[in-house]
Amino acid sequence: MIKLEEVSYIYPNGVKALKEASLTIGERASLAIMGKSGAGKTTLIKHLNGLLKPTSGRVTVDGVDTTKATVAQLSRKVGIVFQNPDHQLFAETVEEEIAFPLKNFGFSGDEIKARTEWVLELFNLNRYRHHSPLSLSGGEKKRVAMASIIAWKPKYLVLDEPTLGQDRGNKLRLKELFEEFREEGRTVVMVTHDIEFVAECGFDVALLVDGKVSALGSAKEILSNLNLLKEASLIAPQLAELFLELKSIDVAQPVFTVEEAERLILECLLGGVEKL
Amino acid sequence: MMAYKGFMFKRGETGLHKLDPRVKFLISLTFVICSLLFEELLVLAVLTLTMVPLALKGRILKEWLSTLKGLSFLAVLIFAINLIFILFGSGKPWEFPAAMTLRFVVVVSAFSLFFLVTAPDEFGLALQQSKIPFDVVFALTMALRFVPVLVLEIQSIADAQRSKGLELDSGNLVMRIKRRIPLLIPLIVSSVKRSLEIAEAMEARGYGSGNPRTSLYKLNFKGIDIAIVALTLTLLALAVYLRLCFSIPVLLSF
Repeated sequence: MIKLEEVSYIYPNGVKALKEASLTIGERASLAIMGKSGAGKTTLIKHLNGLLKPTSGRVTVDGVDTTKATVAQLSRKVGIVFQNPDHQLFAETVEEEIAFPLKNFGFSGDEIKARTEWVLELFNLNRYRHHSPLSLSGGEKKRVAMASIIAWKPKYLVLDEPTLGQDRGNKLRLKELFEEFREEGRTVVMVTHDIEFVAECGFDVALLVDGKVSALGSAKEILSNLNLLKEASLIAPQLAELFLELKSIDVAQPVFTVEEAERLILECLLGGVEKL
Repeated sequence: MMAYKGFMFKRGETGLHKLDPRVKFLISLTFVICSLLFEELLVLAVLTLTMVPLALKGRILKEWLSTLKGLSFLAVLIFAINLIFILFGSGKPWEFPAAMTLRFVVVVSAFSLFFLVTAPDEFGLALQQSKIPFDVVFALTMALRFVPVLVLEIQSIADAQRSKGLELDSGNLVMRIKRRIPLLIPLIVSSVKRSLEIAEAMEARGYGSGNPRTSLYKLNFKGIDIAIVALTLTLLALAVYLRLCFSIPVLLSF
């Protein structure tokens, strides 16, 4: 379990990025941290593996205070994929890029080989294995950056804007991967503005407003609450918004997926009634 | 990493800030020339101490001291290398390692003083009016403006690599240098990429398509500027005379 207790963080230039933010990320959890730009999302995730130490308050990872462990020690459990792949890639080939953290964490040669093969396959990067990661497109670089973190299967996987530059197919693959991770008892945390993807994945949502966690709940609870979304400068998923607009139709709960919408519309059309 | 702040302009209304940028450059250049003329500890110590009242006058002492702090690692390295040569009988006096360290401090901190009290645009204007082509001036001032961006970028890259288990602050010197390769490559790649993107964005907005540029502002020497130029050149001439005609006492001889 990762626990943030009234964490405040002030950057050296005086900017107060987190203001007594409290959040508990349980095991097997899937959580999306959302909020407008500058709300403190990236600052918050940098506390999860000790890259930033709180100015006040406390962060613990499985009971270990992050001020008492090195980033390398914490990273073995908390893998963070940062937003900009250009800041992460440096090796001569994609294969070596993926093997780099595995070597850092002391995996055996056979294990490195097996895990590299696994993520190359998983992220559809097999044909680029001998290419320089720097020669790939933006979306492909992002996939290499994600693959190099997922390769060591951290207990807590944290991703900053994972869907940026990804096409539909890759998003679906990501969704499957997150499900697989959860089934294996791991936790997935993502920072994102991609509200449709969050709704589709059914993650819990923590809303961050001005350095504070202003709301925490299931995607359905949070992403259909227009007041909360307005406060965080977000808009509801298109389907949810459409059904909220159809005020004359009484919907029992927010509609997030195409399947739900399809079922309700068909029921409505076949039944010929206004009540869905 | 914070040493870069010692080279970033700090806005102010002091007499030093108001001087013509060319005069400020002449002062810094004089410090550099004097430090290269002498290798005696006494002179180099006087040169270093002379910068303190200037930093006080410009209200930039804190930033100037941060430059010195940032230089400390290299300064120790220079001292150690020179000391090794003395121990192996280079025949230089015992004060030589300290003098060479101070020479390095004077050269770098003289430029730190200059950049702390000179706005990048003012610096560009001075170069432009010294007949240096606008493209060169523009590239130089852009480079200066991007220093804080690069520092932030190094921080982000270091964060990303440390998150992949890279230990930057452990191991011996060779290992530490080797471990910085994962920082250098992304930094170089993203800097080159950014410069190409900026060039394209500038061209897309018509850069270089018009007539030769003129400046709205003109730099003019004031009375105080002329007086300081005269004083600086006199001191420089005096330093050359001192070098050629007198021998400076050695402080540490065994």
